[in-house]
Amino acid sequence: MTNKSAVEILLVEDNPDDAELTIRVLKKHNLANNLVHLHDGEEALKFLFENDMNIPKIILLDLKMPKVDGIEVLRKIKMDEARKIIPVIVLTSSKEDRDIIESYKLGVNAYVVKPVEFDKFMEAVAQLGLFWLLLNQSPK
Amino acid sequence: MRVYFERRILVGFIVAFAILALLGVYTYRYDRESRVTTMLVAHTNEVLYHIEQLNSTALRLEKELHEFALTGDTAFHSIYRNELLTAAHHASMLAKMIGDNPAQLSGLDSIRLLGRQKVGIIKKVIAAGTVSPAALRTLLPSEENTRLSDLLAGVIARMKDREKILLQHRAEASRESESKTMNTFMLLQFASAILLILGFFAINFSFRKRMLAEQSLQEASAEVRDLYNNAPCGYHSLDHQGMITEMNHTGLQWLGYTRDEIVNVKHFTELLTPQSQGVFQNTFPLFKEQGYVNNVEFDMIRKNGETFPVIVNAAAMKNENGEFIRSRTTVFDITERKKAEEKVKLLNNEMEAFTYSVSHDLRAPLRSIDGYARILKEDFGPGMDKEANRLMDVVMRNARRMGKLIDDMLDFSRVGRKDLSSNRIDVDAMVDSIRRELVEHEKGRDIRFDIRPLASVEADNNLMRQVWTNLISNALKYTSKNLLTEITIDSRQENGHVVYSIRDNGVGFDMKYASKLFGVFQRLHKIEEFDGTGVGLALVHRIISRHGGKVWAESELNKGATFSFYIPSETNNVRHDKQIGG
Repeated sequence: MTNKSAVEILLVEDNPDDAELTIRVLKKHNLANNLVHLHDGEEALKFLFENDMNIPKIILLDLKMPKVDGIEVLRKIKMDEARKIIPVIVLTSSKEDRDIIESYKLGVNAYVVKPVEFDKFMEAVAQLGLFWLLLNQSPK
Repeated sequence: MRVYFERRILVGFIVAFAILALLGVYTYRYDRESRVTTMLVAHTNEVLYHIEQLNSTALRLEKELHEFALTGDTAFHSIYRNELLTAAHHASMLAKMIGDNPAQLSGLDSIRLLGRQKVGIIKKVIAAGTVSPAALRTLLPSEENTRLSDLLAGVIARMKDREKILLQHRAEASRESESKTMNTFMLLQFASAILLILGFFAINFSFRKRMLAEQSLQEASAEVRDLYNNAPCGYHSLDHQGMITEMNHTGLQWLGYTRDEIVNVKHFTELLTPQSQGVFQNTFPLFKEQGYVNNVEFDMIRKNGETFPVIVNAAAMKNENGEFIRSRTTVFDITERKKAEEKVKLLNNEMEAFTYSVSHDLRAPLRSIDGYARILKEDFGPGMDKEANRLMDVVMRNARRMGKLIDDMLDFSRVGRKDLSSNRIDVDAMVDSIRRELVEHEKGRDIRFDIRPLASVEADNNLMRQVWTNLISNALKYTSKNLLTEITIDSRQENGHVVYSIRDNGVGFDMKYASKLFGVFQRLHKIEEFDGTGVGLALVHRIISRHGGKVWAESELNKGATFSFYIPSETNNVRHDKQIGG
C-alpha cells in the first residue's frame, strides 16, 4: 500500500473466461486496482523470479495450466526464501484429493474449488479477496 | 488285527510245547514200566529154572537110587551127597526169590518136607545095602517110595504152573500198558502234527498280511511323495539358518536347478534379489519365533538370471522343547497376478486421468455458461423482455444441473477408487449431526424424527456419513409434499448382522421398479416432482458393497419407503484372519 503501482494481486489463470469472471468480481469490490493476470506457469515464474521488485500481496493460482502447472509454480515459490512468505491461494476446478494434499504439503495458504454456479463463484472470490487483502495481516 | 494273529500263534506254540513235554513224560514212564516188566519176567524165568533144577535133581536121584538097588555100587554114596547139595542150593535160591509169594512158599515147604522123607528112605536103603544086596531088594521098589515120588512131582508141577500163570499175567499187563502208551503216543503225535500244520498256515497268513500292508504303505508313501514333488506349487524346507534342506520338483523346475545344486548347498537368500533378501532377513527371525508366516512376497532368481515374483506361506516344525527344526514352506508363482495387477494399475491411472480432466475441463465451460448468462442478465436484464429473462434462467439452471451431475459422477467414481479406512463409528452421533444439518434447509416443514438408539459400526467414517446423508436427505426429499413428515431410524440384530433401517411416510415407489432404484442415473420420479441426479442411492449401494454389506428397499406407492442396510462386522473378519494365521 506504500507503493501505488506495486502489484497487489497476481492472477495466474489460463482460462480467459474464468480470468474475466474473477477480475469482474474483484473489480466489483474494488480489489483489482493493481492486478496482474498471467496465462500460465512459465509466465508466472518469469514475472516472479526475474524481478525482485515483483512481490505481490497475494497470488491466485490455477493448477491445471499449459507448460508449467500450478503445483510447480507453488513449489518454486515456497522453496524460495524471499518469496515463500507470499500468500498463495489455489483457485481451481479440481476437487481431487491428490491436488489438495499436494498443495498443502507444499505450503499453500488456501485451497478453493471454483463452484460451477456463478453466484457461488462470485461469493467465493469476493470473500477471498476481502479476507487476504483487507483482513489478513501479511508479513512486511 | 496282526496282534491277534500273533497271539494265536503264540498259544499254538505253547500247546505244542506242552504236548512235547507230555510225550517226554510218557516216554520216561513207558521206559521205566517196561524195564520193571522185563525184570519181573526174568525173575519168573529164574524161579522156573530153579524149580526145574529141583525137579531134575529129584528125578536123577530116583534113577540112581534104583540102579544102586540093582547093582549095590557104592559110588552112589558120593552121587547122593552131591545131588543133595545141589537140591539144597536150588531150594535156598528159590526161598530167596519167592519170599513175597505165600502160595509158592508153602509149595517149597511141601517139597522140603517130602525131600526129607525121601532122604529118610534113601538112608534106610544105603544102610540096608551095607548089610546085603538082598536086603536092598526088599526095600526097593516100595510103595512108600513111589508115593513120595509122585507127591514130589505133583508139588513141583503145581509150583511150575503157578509161576507160569504169573508170567502170563505179567506179560499180559505189560502188553496192555504198552498198547495204552502207544495209543496216547499216537494221539499226542497226531495233535502235534495238526498244531504244526495250523501253525504253518497262521504264520503264512500273518506273513502275507504283513507283506500286503507293507506294499500298501509303500504305495501310500509313493503317492505322498508324488503329491509333494509334482504339486502345482513349490514346496521347500529351510533349517534354522535358512539353508534349503528339501525342495520339490515344481520348485526346482521353476528355478532351473537340479536337486543336488540346491538341497543342503544353497542358502535361501542366494535365490533372492537383494531387495527380497532384506525382506527375508526381517521376516525369518519373526517366523521362527511365532511359528508361521503368511503371504510374504519375494522376487526369486532362476539359474538363468531371470527373476519372478512369488508369494510364500510357511509353518514351522518345532521339537517338543519348542525349538525350531525346519520350515514347511509353500511357494506360489504370482507372475500372472502381478501382470494383472499392473494392468489394473494402468487402467486405474487412465481412469484417474480421465476423471481428473472431466472434473477440470467440463466444469470450466459450465462455469462460463452460467457466469456469462448471469452477467448478461445482470447488465442487460432490465432492458430485455420477460421471455428473454426466462430463457436466460433456463440456460443457467441447466448449466448448474450439468455441474451437479458431473460432481455426483465424480463422487461416485471416487468411492470406487478410494481405499477404505476403518473406524468404530458412533452412529447415534453421526445420524444426529446429519439430521440437524439437513433440517436446516427444510424450514417451515413439520418433520418428526423418531431416532432409536443405534448400534455402532466398524466402517469408513466419511463414506458412512455419505450413506446416512443420502438416505436421510432422500427421506426428506420424498416426503416434501407431506403435511406431516415422519421419519423413523433404528437398528436391530438379524442373522448375526446389525441391520439399520430408515422409514419415511413419503410417496414411496412401486416395488416392480425396485431393481432400478440403486442404478446410476436411474430415477423413478420426474425431475419437476423431485429434483436429483439419480446418483445418491447408487452411491449408497456402492459404498455399502465396498464394505461387503447389502442395502435394500421396501415400499408401496404412496405409503412410504423403508431403506435397510448392514455392514459385516470387522471383528468377525479379524477373528477369521487369526484362524487362518494360527
